[in-house]
Amino acid sequence: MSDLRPYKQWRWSDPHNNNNNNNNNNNNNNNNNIPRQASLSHSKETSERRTAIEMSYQLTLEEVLAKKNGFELFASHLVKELSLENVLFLVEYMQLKHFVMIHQLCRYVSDIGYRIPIPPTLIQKHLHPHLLQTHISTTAAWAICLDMFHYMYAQYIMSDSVALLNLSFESSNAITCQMHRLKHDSTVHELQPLIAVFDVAARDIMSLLRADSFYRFQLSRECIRYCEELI
Amino acid sequence: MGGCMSDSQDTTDRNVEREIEKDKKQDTRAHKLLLLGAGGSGKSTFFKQLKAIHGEGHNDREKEGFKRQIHGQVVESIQLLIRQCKTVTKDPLPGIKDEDDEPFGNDDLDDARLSNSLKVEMTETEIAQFKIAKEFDQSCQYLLEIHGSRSALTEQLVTHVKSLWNECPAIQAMFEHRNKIGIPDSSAFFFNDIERIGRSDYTPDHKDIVLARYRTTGMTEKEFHIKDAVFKVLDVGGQRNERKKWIHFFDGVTAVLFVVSLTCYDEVPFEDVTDLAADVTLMNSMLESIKVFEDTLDFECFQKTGFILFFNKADLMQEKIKRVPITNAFPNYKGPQEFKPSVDYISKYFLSLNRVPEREMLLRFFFEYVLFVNYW
Repeated sequence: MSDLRPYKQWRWSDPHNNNNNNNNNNNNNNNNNIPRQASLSHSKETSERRTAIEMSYQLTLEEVLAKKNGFELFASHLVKELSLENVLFLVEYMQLKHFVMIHQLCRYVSDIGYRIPIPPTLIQKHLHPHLLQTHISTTAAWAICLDMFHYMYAQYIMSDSVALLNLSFESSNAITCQMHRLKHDSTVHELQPLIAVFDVAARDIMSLLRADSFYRFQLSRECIRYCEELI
Repeated sequence: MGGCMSDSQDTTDRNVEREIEKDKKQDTRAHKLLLLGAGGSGKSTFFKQLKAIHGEGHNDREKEGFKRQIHGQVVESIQLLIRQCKTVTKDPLPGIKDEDDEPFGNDDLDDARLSNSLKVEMTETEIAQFKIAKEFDQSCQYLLEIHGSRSALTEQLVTHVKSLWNECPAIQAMFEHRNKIGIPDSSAFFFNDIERIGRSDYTPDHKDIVLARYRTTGMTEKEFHIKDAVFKVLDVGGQRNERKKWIHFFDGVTAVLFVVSLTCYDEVPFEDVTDLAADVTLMNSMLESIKVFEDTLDFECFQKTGFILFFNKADLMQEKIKRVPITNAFPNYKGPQEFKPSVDYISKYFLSLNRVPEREMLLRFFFEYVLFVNYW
């Protein structure tokens, strides 16, 4: 159990993350006025900036999550909006999948399912080095994996969770049923169905982010600055 | 606190402090208004309308975002309709390869559902009306396989949605029960206009923007300058998990704008939606709204805060009241099944929940498309 703690270190109240956010916060009171501001400082507006604005239109959530700095920028946007739990869930779930894939467990899954392109460095950095060692036996790996699922369930899905997600009844109920099933049968053959139900939730959260938080992120000054750097 | 005022404090620190001071001053000048209410009551819609009337309106970039929301709403609504039809008629979903339908035993599923909800039995003829005919299999399969990463409405998608919506009676029959399965009323509007919405050069107009429905997660704030006053309005998510976050904004609030959907007395809250069998008299968003309102009134920090109760969707209520009595949520209501007395009853009921007589309580009603009164 204690082995797992570092795996849980990327949290909601991660002080490092909060600091980041405060720094960003100071010069960022008027995210929404970019077009007006841009027209005021007309002379300064370079074609580069216009391209950046153009680019921010075209960005997809996946593209932002796939780059380390994009990911961090979006995460600090969510901190400001108080919805970081969404991305934390996605990261921790992808860490779980990463864990499954690098160990013998992958033999028990025919389909690893939905994958969100989060940079591997981020996935690995916050996993405990012990968990990345290759010599873990299947039994031990499965025990750890089960523990991860229980943790995810308690952290994000149960109605009294600290970081409860905004999920439909359908999605969260499917997970609840599957978790209850583990009481009768907790062999490694339960891994595939567990992935199936958690995938539904992950997709749900991605579409929530895409339609709500991400579109505000695209309008933010930070996002345009990010695009300027990309050029 | 005093300990931190040491000599080593450098200029950046002081700058930061000056910034904070400035922010504080601005904060005290601005009236902080909190938009609260249960999920789907219309907080974000109200926020959008404020922006259109008192803000700088919606620019092209924002419209792009709304377009995506609308496309998402269309796809999600049609998928839900299909899935619900298939569930009721126990028709296996066509061609869904992964997740062999029900990865878990049916017994367990039923157990968990029963504990939560309350089945209403349906006769076989009732069930039969939700049977999607074979000819639509291809459309269903196509639509169910969309996982909207870039949810553009392709030509093909538009065709499939159109044929299901216009030609498939089962889908229409299911839409009649949208209150139980969490499908927004406005989806009908978008389905009917699917061709316009699917055009590649489509830009949402005011009406589209106001009608777009999407869950909010977290919170957003925006300042409005109305005459000399500055209002800082905070919009938040209303589902159960989102309500846990509300307490973070409760400091220094001038007034709470509490939004209630008048039509939600037969709608199942998003977090509870299961299937057609749901019993809306035992669980509906009006009961949820009442509970949320009571909880909000009870907060220590709100004892002296003014409340403005917004009763939303009055126009839709005028239609709904003809079909559904409010006794779903208010079993003690004895008046006629008409708009005026029902709404009076609801508003009085909400006001009566306030146990602090000196607290200021205002009532306002508005229409789903209040903005368009001027347009029509």
